[in-house]
Parts: sequence; structure tokens; C-alpha cells
Amino acid sequence: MQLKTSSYKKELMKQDLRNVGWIGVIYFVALIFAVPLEIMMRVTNDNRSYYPDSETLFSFHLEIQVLAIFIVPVILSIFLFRYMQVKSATDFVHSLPLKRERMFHHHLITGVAMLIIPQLLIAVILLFMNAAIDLEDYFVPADLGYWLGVTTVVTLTIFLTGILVGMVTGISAVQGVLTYILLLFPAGIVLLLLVNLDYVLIGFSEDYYLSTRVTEFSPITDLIELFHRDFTFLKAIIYLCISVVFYYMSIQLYKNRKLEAATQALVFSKLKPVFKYGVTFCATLLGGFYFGETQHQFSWILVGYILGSMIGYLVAEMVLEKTWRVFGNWKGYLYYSVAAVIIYFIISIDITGYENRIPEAEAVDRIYLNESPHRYSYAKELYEMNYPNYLSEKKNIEAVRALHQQLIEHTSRIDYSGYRNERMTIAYELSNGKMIVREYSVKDQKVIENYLKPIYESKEHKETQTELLHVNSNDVSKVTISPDVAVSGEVVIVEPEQLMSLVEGLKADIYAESYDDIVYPRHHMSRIRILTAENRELHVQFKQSFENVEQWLRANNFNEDAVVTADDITKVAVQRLSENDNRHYYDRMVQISESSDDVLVVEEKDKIEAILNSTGGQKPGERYVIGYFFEGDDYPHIQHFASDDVIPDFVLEYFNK
Amino acid sequence: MISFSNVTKTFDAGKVSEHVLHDVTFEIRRGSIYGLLGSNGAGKTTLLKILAGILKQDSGTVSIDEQPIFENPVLKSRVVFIPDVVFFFSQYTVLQMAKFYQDVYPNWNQERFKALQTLLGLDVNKKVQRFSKGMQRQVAFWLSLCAMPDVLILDEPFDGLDPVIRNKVKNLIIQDVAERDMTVIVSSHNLREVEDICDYVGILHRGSFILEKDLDDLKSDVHKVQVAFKNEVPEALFASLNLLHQEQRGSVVLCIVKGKESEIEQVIKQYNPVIYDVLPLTLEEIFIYEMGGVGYAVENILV
Repeated sequence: MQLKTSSYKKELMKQDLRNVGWIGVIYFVALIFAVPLEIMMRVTNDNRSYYPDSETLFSFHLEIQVLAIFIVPVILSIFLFRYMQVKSATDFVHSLPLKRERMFHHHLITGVAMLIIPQLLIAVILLFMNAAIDLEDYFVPADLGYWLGVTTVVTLTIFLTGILVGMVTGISAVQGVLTYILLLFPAGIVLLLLVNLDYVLIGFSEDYYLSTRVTEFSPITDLIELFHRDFTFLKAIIYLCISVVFYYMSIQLYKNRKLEAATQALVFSKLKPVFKYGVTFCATLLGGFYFGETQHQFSWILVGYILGSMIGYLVAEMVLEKTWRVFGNWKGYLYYSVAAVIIYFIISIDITGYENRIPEAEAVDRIYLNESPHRYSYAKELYEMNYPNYLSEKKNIEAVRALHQQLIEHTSRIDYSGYRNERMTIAYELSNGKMIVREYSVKDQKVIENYLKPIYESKEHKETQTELLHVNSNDVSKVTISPDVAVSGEVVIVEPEQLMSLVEGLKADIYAESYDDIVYPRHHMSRIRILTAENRELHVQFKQSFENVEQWLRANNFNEDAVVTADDITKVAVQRLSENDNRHYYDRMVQISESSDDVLVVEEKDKIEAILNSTGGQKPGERYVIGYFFEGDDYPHIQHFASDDVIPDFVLEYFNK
Repeated sequence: MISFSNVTKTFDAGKVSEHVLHDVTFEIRRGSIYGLLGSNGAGKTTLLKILAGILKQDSGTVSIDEQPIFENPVLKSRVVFIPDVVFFFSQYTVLQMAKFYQDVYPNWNQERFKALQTLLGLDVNKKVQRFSKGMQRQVAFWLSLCAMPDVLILDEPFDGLDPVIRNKVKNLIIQDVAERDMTVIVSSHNLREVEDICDYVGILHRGSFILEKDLDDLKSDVHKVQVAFKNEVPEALFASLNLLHQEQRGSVVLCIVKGKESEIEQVIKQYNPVIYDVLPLTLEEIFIYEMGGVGYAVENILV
């Protein structure tokens, strides 16, 4: 028998168009409103403001474009493969003399056309508009190419993800939800694993990994970069590769799909345990993450694990069994719990020696030491151009290793990133190109003080912290010293010779700073601003330890104007904070007029002088606040004591009586 | 020729897998009308969907003219399946559906489509889903027959058709069988619905066949005989007959006998009966007498 066999079935295509044509139309209309119409409106608006942020075509109605790009492909995949999820439709369609692979390609091509044709039409419209009226203020043809490329690559990837999920499930709603979950999954699971590893492994620096590339693992979290930064060519290739892999997987899954499983949540029974325990595992991590980040306590994290795993298990069961009544099936949960406890145990005994690993001094190239993990990654990009921010002297490497050892010994599993704790990040760059990054939450600064001291006092470390030390004294064009508070007085020096001697003195002061001067600085409530030749202003806090500077000021009779003196102050109130509530001290401070149980008001000049001399930066766990009252100002200026050791005796006596 | 050999199919239903077909082996001759009988849940629909190439059997082979049906478009273009709930694309008119069939089935016969339109008297420009259930079923038959299938698979086809249409459709089917040697397999839970068109029946019960019969053989093989004798009934008579059932009403003996009519007559005539009649036997009676043992399944299809 002669058979007409053309690979293209006109009526099948027509059916697809009747089914999903409207989606293409809506997509086109949405894009019309978002880009060409918006540009026309801006062009014809006479008193338009210039938008400097319109770097890419995505900046026109970003919200509409984002919604369209993320919703349209998923809706398309649902509608095109809807026939597989409805029993009567699936029976009819699969009784036709058409191979599954062929139908798949028909639907795929229709879907791709529904995505690409509207995008191409928009591009053509924009090209015509550009030819008719000059739109160079809004975009250049290269922007158009970028826009077309990104929308094509991203919508294709999302569309194929939707199809892949459609092959696995038998319910359209599940297809929609699972598609977004799958799109979010790579970034989500990495985040959850990193955060939870941080709870188990002492010294694990989740922030170091998080601040690098996690958001790029999912198109949803990568969105901002997609539209604002450049979507790199490499990324486009990766997206397309993923699309191709999903395409082949979808065909294979379709060929092996059992059609009787329409209306079941998961079509392939082999996937059911994967889904069930996968959901349970993710929910466990999510539970730990939630309570860990809100409570910072091990007991709460444990509660999170148990609660999360139970909820996850039940939800997975509900989806698979399509019923609420799953509260009797706990056998699988039991297996899961046993496995989870074993895994937790294996990680926590630290087989690989992760927790105690300190690289040999010879193997270390340089070290980044910081209290803030974010600064490490930013530092590389932002500051490295100006001055080196790493330690590489042998003495310092040894000192950091000793500090690291001390941190390992004194950090326990329950010292999570409590917000009161200081953080310490050590990043070793090894000579073989590898990195070892560890992060510790320091509960008690005293424990590491002796180890920090040699590092902080070293010339090299000071140079990593202060940009001024890299500025040539000859290049300074102006120095301004003025109090931070509303007190009249300012010292401005522009005379080159004076500048030279002042800046050199300041540098010498900084090099001479002791550990206590750095960590518990007493300062003058005053700031030194240095204007460099490149017109950059560097700020240095005027510390009481800056003897050279003070001497210089005195020698040049500037001292009175540069700092806050007792004469500027009408009165000082010292308030002792109660253990629990220290949030409302400012409100009280404003109303203070005389001494009471927990407040000392001082008006004598010598006592004010004494308090001034011990004023410094805020420390966690502060017990006193100081309020300075100035002439003509009802509101106090809040300061703190530099450390407990410097509090004047009369203050302690007053509160201890 | 359609052939099933050792076909097994299980459905994965949650934690337990359900055995729907169990080691089914049977054949259907070309040009015959096969009645697939069985109570609800016997596995009829599953068997038909496997034959239509929709579902894939777990094991065993299903073939039409020695070729497997699953994912075989060349073969499937000669097979049409009409499910118990007919399906049409939403918003499609009869004409649009016809165009679709025409595009998909290579043997589409447009003249026949027009001829049947006059016969059925349905509006081709009306959306199919606006039709009543019975009319939709007619449309399904209409389109399917115009695809000129060699094998027509019908799942509970006559539900919801009024007697006039039912006969029309039956006639159309019989016509195709006679003219083109079309093979038909029709499932039903009711013997009476199909006995007038089938020449072969099989009873499926809990996933396996418990009976397969050629109806012509069956009818010519079993006879209801009424005899009366002047004197005592000769015992020797019954011994020499293949007796399925016997009862006595006064002097008249009624018996169901298996065998050729001429041979039975020959045996009985030896004893000089006063009355000898061969009465018509309904298919229903044949089943009841033949199938005493598996009563449940049989009773159910006789409702």
C-alpha cells in the first residue's frame, strides 16, 4: 500500500496553532507595550528626562519583560503538552498513526515559533523605527542584537525545562510548579547545602562561596545580571547546551512514557522515591536554614531539621498519592531519618580533616585576613588596584597560622554567626593556585587577642588597612581636620611644607599604633580628611594616640579648632545600660537633666576632660553610653568608652556605690 | 490477522501494582467481528488500547499481520480505535475534524464522507462538542469509517445510541466487513448487544480469557430437543447422547444436546418418539448451559 509520508503534518500544526496561538499573540502584545511603544512615548514626550540607565533594551518596562520571559514559555509547554495529561486526549492522540517523536517535534517547533516570531517581529519594528527616526538616545543596533539573543536563549531554556517536566508528570498544575522549582533548584540547593554545612563544619565559610557564583546557577536568581550586566557568550552557550540536553532527555522520556499514568503526579515510578526523599532532604535543609538564620542556636536548628523533614515527607507523599490522608505512612520516614543521622554523623566527625586543616607556611603565597567575609571578594575587585590588601611576609604568615590554630581550638559547634559575635575570615592563597578559606565566629575577643596583636601591629597589616600609607606625602594637596560634631572650628592646611610635615607625622603615628590603639581606640571625635593629587579624599579618625599630629597642631597653634575640648561641652551624661533593654537609651538621654541611679551628669570641666580622654569606638556588649551636650543643641551626641579599662574612676565609683 | 501471545499488563497504582491482563493469548481472523465480553474491570479496555498501539504491554507480543503495533505508524494508519468516551479537539467543527483525519489517515475516503453525511444528516459546520453524546458518537463512527481502516476497534460502542442509529451503524460495519474484509473487535459488557453482529466471542474475566467461541459453531453445535415417548423413556437414549441439560415436564422430555443435528436426529429416531422437535436456542441459553462452572462471569454479561 502506498502511504503519503511527509514529515510535516499540516493539520497537526494547525491544531497546535489553534491551541497555543493566542499565547504567541499575547506575548507579542506584551513586548510591543514594553519596548517599541514605550520608546515612541518617550520620543514624543517633550519634557522627557534623559534616562541614563537605559543601557540595554531590557530597561524599558523591565517588569513586563521579565514576567513575559518567565511565564510565557512555561504556559506554552503546559498547553502544548496538555494532551498527555488528559486521559481521553492522550488515548485519541496516541491512537493516531503518528510516532511520538514526530508529534513531539511538531509541538516543539510550534512552541519555539511562538517564542521567537514575536521577538523577531519586535526587532524588525525597532529597526524600522530606528530607520525612520533617530533613536540613538535609546538604543543602537548592537543593543537590539543583545536583547534578541538573551530573550531567545532564556525563553528557549525555560521552554525546554517546562517540556522536560511535562514528560515526567501527569498533571498540568504539577508541571507548572515543578518547572519553576527545577529552574530554581541549582541555586537553591547550593545555598541550602552551604548554609547547612556551615552549621556542621566548624570554620566553613558559606559566605565566601555564596558571594561568588551561586546566583548564577539559576536563571531566576541570575535575572538581575541577565538584564543589567552583560549576559556573557559563555553563559549563552551553557544555556543552549542545557536546552539540548533537556531536548534529548524529553524525547527519551516521551518514548518510554506509560500513557496510562496520565493524571498521576509522577509518571515514572522509578522517580517516585527520588522525588519523595529529594523533597524530604530539601525541606530538612530548609528547616535548618530557617531556624539557623533566625535563632542562631543548635537546638533550634535541630528542631528545624526534624520539622522540615516531616513536613517535606508528608508533602511529597501527598503529591504522590494525591490525597491528604497520608499520616499513616511513616515507614519511609524512618529509613530517611536513619540515613540522615548517619550522614550528619559522618560529616560532623570530619573524615577529611577539614576543620583542622592549616596549610604549611611554605605552601602559602599570601593571606587575606578580614572581619567581614564579603570584603574579601569585593576587595579583590575594588581595592587591589590601589594598594595590596594581603599579607605575605613570612612572619605574618606564621602569626596567622598560630591565630588560626587558636581559632580552631576555641570555636565550638554552637558558635554560629551570632550577630553579637565578631567574625574572622582567613583566606590562604596557596602557591599551587588553590585557596583555603575559613570563617570563624569569635565569641570572646580576648581569646585571640594575643595572636592578633603581632599581626595588627605589623607594618604590613597596617598597610593593608590604611590607604593613606600608600599615598606619597608630596601628592597631598589639602588636609582638613574638623570635629565630627556641630562645633565651630576647622583646620585647613594647604601650604606644601606644612602638608609634608603633617602627613609624614600622621603616617609615623599610624605605624606606631599599638594593638590597643587599633582595637580600642580613644579618639578626639574628630576626623582628618586628606585630599590626594587625584582628587580623592581619604578619611582617618583622629585618635588620641596620634602624638606627632597633636604635637604638630600645638606647634602651629591649631589644636583648639581641630578637636572637641571641654570648653565646647556644656554637660556630659553617662548612662549605665541595663542587661536586657539598651535600645531606648537615646530617648532617655534627651530628657536627662540631673543624676539619678543609672545616670551620672557631669558639668565640671576636669571631669569632662577625663571622660573626653577615654572616649572611643563602640564595642559589643557595651555597658555605658556617653551623651555630650553642646551649647545651643538640645540633642546629645552619643559616644562610648574606648574600653572598660579606661573608664575614669569617679564614674565607676558613682555606679558601684 | 490479529494475534496476542502471552500478553501481560500491570498498572502501577500507588504502592501496589495492579494486574490487569494476565498471560492473554488469542487470535482474530481477518474479516471477522470479534465480541470481547466481560464484566466491568475485566481488562477489556486495556486489551483494546494495547491492540490500538496506545498502551504498551509489559511482556508478550501483540501483532497485526505479523507486525507489532506499538509505535508503528504504517500499521496504525490501518487501525482505528473508537474509545468509550469519544474525543474531539475542543472548538473543532465536524469539517475541521474531518480535515484532520484526512491529513493523518492516508486512506481517507472523501466520497464516503459525503455519502455518510447524507445518511446521518448531521451539520458539518457545527462544533462537535455542541452535539449530544449520541450524536458525537455518530460523528466518531462517521470519521472512523471514512478513514477506511482494516481493523476497527470499538470500546463499548453502542452505549447511548438509539435503536435506529444503532442499527444504521451496525449495518455500516457489517457492510465494510463484507465488502473490504475489515476486521472488527468490539467490547461489551452485554452479550445481547453484540450477539447479532459477532461471529466470534471471547469472555475476559479478571485479566484472562475463560472462554472463546465461534458463534456459528456454537449455534450449530448445541440443540434444544423436545421428545415424548408412548412408554417409559428409554434410559439408553441419554447414554448415547452428549447431554448438557435434561428436564421432564409430564411426558415430554426437554434436553440440551451437543452434537450435529442430523446425528442427534438419527439417534433419537431409533427409539420411535411420539414427538420430536428441535427448538431454537438463544445464545444466552447456550452460554448458561455451556458454562455452568464459571457462572459468575457469564451471568454478568447476560444482564
